[in-house]
Formats: sequence, structure tokens, C-alpha cells
Amino acid sequence: MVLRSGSHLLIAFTFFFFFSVLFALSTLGTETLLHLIAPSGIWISLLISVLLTLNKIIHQEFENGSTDFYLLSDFPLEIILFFKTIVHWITVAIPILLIMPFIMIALQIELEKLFVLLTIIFIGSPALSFVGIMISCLTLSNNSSFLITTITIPFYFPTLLLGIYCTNNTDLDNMSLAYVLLSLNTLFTITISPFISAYAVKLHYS
Amino acid sequence: MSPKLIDTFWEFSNPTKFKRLARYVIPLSAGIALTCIVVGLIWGLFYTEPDYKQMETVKIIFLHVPAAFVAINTYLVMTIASLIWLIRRHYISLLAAKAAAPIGFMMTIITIITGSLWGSSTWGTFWVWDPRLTSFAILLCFYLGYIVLWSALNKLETASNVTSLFCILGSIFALLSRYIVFFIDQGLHQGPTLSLDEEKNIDNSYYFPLILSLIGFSALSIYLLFIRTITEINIHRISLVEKRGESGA
Amino acid sequence: MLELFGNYSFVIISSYLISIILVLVLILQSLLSKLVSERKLKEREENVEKPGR
Repeated sequence: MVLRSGSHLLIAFTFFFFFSVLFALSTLGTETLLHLIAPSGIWISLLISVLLTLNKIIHQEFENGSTDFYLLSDFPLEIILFFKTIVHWITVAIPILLIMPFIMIALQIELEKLFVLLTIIFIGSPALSFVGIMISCLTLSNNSSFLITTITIPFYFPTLLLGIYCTNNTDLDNMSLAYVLLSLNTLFTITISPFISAYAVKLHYS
Repeated sequence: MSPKLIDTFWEFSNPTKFKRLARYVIPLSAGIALTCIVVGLIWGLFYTEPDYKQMETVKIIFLHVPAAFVAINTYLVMTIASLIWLIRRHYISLLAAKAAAPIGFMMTIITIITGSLWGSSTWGTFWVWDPRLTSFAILLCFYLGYIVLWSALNKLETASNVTSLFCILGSIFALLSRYIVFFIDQGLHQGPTLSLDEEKNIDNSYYFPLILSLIGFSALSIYLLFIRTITEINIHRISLVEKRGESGA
Repeated sequence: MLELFGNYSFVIISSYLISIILVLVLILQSLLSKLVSERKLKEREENVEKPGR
């Protein structure tokens, strides 16, 4: 599984890199501006790379018939989908998190802040995978990645807003509440995503 | 509600009975909408005193607040209709949800346009990323997503479950984003216009025309909802008849 | 006409006009599509029932 997803890992890496470079270039090298938008830029690059690898996970399996197999087996679909999402997160978000320090340094983020930012993104990023899988399960009948991208973006608003708020204000006093909210958001998506995806898949087959 | 009343409610899931109901509801709501909107707007436009702080621009309130009210409640109606479809499988409720989306979309646009014109004279800008404005932008995104989804999956069998799940999840996530946006920033926008708390309420001279136009806009949206739902039922019937014709020939 | 509502009459009149036009567009579109669909439905039903019976 992990080996097979090698190609989409490469795509995710490339997109992440390209978008970070785009954000850096869009400031035309103005350091103050880059300082302001670098955390948001990293979030949005991560979001887009997660988004573009989504249809590989569910739709490929749907087309080659693995989903029928899962439905026939006794194992609950919710658990299968949960682990699938975890695998997606490990193969897409974690490698990007590993190369993120280098890109952050290139984007002029201070070294002291780096660890905090990485922790915030580590906490927030599972929500991206879980929401994405949920929505791509909804659109099983139409596998254009354009459609998935269009209708998934509104569902990323809560995660993105909280994440960017956390990363932009690492030195505020009332940050602990924002951290709690970000973790709660992740937990919430982890809880509802497998059930709703399984429900959507079953509805598609009934 | 008594069980008998609930039973009569479910009876309208039958298309013929729904159409019979519509025969009464459509003229009634059209009449209420027309009188209330005309009276409310003319009263509001010509017979209210200008506010001492916002001058004459306060008259935009008679469009802005009702449109926002209808925009939010239409999404609520869509969510309830989608839930009814997923649980009880009455296809009228699904078609009603589909029919309601353009109404809510249009009302959101009216809210945003009147709001930005209002803001241009009182705040000095057309748009700020204030919590209330941001929540309306988010609402607009969800309406757009819903409409795009219907147009991408134009077959009823495939689109039905997907769009209704999208609508229900959308209402959850829109609410979530709204609270997060309010958590992040308190904003410029004034507080809610209508509240049950008497002292916070706006002045009586604005209150009555505002209530009138609120009733008018709600009746208008009910009228449009019924007309559009009947259209959707007709379109669904056409496709059914065509299928029957093909299998017969 | 333009001085009817003081300094801000342009903003007020334009917002009223835009809203009324948008609502009218929505109403007209709904009514038109209803008419079209009803006519089409009648046509189709006659077409199907004639050869059938």
C-alpha cells in the first residue's frame, strides 16, 4: 500500500514545494511581507497537496473493485475507512511535515518558532485528511478531481481558520484556548468522518 | 404535536396532495408577500425618520435584514428537507431542497450587495473581513457548492444522496466556521437587529416596517419555494415519462 | 430625485433597485421554468398515451 502510493507522494511533495515557492515569489522577496504570510502560505500549500492526492485513495479502489470486497467482508467499513485515512495522512502529511522545516527556513521563519509551528500543523493536519476522505466518499459516482476539489474547499474553512490563527499568533496569551479548539476540531473530524464516509459508500451501493 | 397532525404532514409527500396544498399556498403567500413587501418598503423608505448616527442609510435595513434572515433560514429548510429525504425517502423533500438552493443563493447575494453599499457609506469600505461578513461569504460558498454538485451529477438517482449529505454536513461545517470566525475576531458590524431582549431592540419607528418586510420576504421565499418545487416535480415526471416511453417502444 | 434621501440617496436607491431587480429575475425565472415544464409534461404524456392505448 505504502509502496504503491509512492507516485502520489511525489505529486504531493511537488505541489507542496511549488506552492511554497509561489507564495515566496508572490511577495517579490519583500521580507516583511513574507514574514506575515509565510505560515498561511504553508497551510495553504499543505491543504492543496492533500486535496490533490485525495481522489487517488477512494476512487482508485472503487474502480478496481476493492470497495465491493470491503463491503462483502465482515469487517466494519467504518474501521477500514478509518485506517485508510490514517494511511493517507501518514503517507501524505507526515512526509511533507518532515521536509517542512527546510521550507520554513527558506520562508524566513525564525528558528525558535519552528518547533511550535510544526506542532500546530501536526495537530491540525489530520483534520485535512479526514474531511477530505469524507467528501471524496460522497462523490463516488463522479470521479473528476475538479468536482472533489471544488466541493471540499468549503469544508476546510474551520481547520484552515483555526490553524492559521494558531500559527500567526504564537506569542499571544490566550493561545491555549485556540490550541484546544484546534485539537477539538481534529478530534471532531476524526470521530464523524469514518461513520459518514461509510454511510455514503453504503448509500451508493444500496 | 398530536400524532394526527404529524400524519397529515406526511401526507404531503404525495405529489398530488402536495399540488393540492400548493394551490392554496401559492396565491396566499403571493398576496402576503406582495402587500407586506410593498407596504413595508414604502413605509420604510418614505415614512421613517433618518437615524441620528447613520443618517438616511439606515433605510437599507429594510432590505438587508430580511434578505439575510431568508438566506440563513433557506439553508435550514434545505437541511431539514435533506434529512427527511435521507430518513423517510420522500422525493418531494429532496426536490424541495434542490428548489430552495437558488432562492437562498440569490438572497445571500442581495444581502451582500445591500450590505456592502451600506458599508460603503457608513464604514467607508465596501467589504471588510469582519466575522458577520465572513460568515456570509462562507454561506455563499456552501450554496455554490450545493448548486455545483447538482449540476455536476444531473441524474436524480446519483445526485440525491450526495447532495443531501453535502447539505447536512455543510450546515454543520458552516456553523463551525461561523463560531470560529467569531472566536478569532469581534468585528465592526453592529449586534443582532432583532432580539427578544426589549432594551437591545431597535426603535419602534423602524421596528414595524422591518417586521412587515421580514414577513413579506419570508412569504416571498415560501411562494418561490412552492413554485420551484412544482417545477422540479414536473421535470422529474418528464424524465419518468420519457423512460416509460423508451421501454414501451 | 437624487436628492430625495440626502447625501446618501445614490446608495439607497441603487441598493433598492438592485435588490428589486434580482428578486424579479428570480421570480420570472421560476415562473417561466414552471410554465415550460408544465407544457413539456403535457406534451410528453399525450405522446406516450396515444400510441399506448
